[in-house]
Amino acid sequence: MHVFLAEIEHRAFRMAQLATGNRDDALDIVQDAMMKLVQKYSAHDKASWKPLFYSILESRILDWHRRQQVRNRFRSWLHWDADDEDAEDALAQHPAETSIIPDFQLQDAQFMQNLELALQALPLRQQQVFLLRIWEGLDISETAIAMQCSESSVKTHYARALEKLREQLEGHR
Amino acid sequence: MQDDFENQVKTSLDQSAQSLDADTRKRLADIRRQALSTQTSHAKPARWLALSHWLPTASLAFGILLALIFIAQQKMQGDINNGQEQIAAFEMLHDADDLETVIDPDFYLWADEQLANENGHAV
Repeated sequence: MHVFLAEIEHRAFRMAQLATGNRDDALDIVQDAMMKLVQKYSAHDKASWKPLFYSILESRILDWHRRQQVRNRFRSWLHWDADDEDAEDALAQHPAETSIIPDFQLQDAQFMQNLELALQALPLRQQQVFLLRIWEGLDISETAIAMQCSESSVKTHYARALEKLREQLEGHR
Repeated sequence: MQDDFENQVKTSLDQSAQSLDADTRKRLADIRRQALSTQTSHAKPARWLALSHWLPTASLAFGILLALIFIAQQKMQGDINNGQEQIAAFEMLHDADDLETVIDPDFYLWADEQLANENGHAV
């Protein structure tokens, strides 16, 4: 279990960070997912850990987005100046580029920056399916388990995500 | 099978994960250790749940329980006997003929005579 968690923790954190745009929230989400996996599923077959872990992680990310929606609704009811505040928060929460990509070549750094923006612009389900398939290397059935959806939905989400990313990152290819 | 674009995306994402700052890496390692420590505490049952911990106390309690049951049974048997005598006395008082017999002095003389005869035969 230790080796498994050590192997996936950085990618899991980046996935959560891309989904939330917030480092601390991403760390909390990863913590919840790890705790639940260890406490409930450590006796399960090792092969099932990865889809189970990402299933928990995706579920936590979804919960985070629901909570954010509720918060935003309250803000709009209270007539807060959400635009200014969000803009300020987004800048504050966005990880400093130097902390993520300190030594990249400029071209790679630009590609990563644009990729990150393009990924964040994707609908949540498409973003998650795309990352699980392309980055984590889950196959279609494992992704369907992790996302708790059908295999055909996985294929659709992945195809749409890939198409949008290709369009947005065309200039870098 | 991934094409060039997918490979480029994957490589960029890998690099971003490998380039996490030291503080985030430390936080993640702490989180992992914390999660694994809950596994250890789940795997080992608490000492107070161990059978050997409770065995002497349970044996003593069982012994005391058996003794109490025995004493209660003895007491209940005595109560039943007393109860039977009380019922017989009540029935005698309730029946008018029996009551008349009981208060007749001749009955006691007769009963005494009968007992003496029985003892005489027995000897």
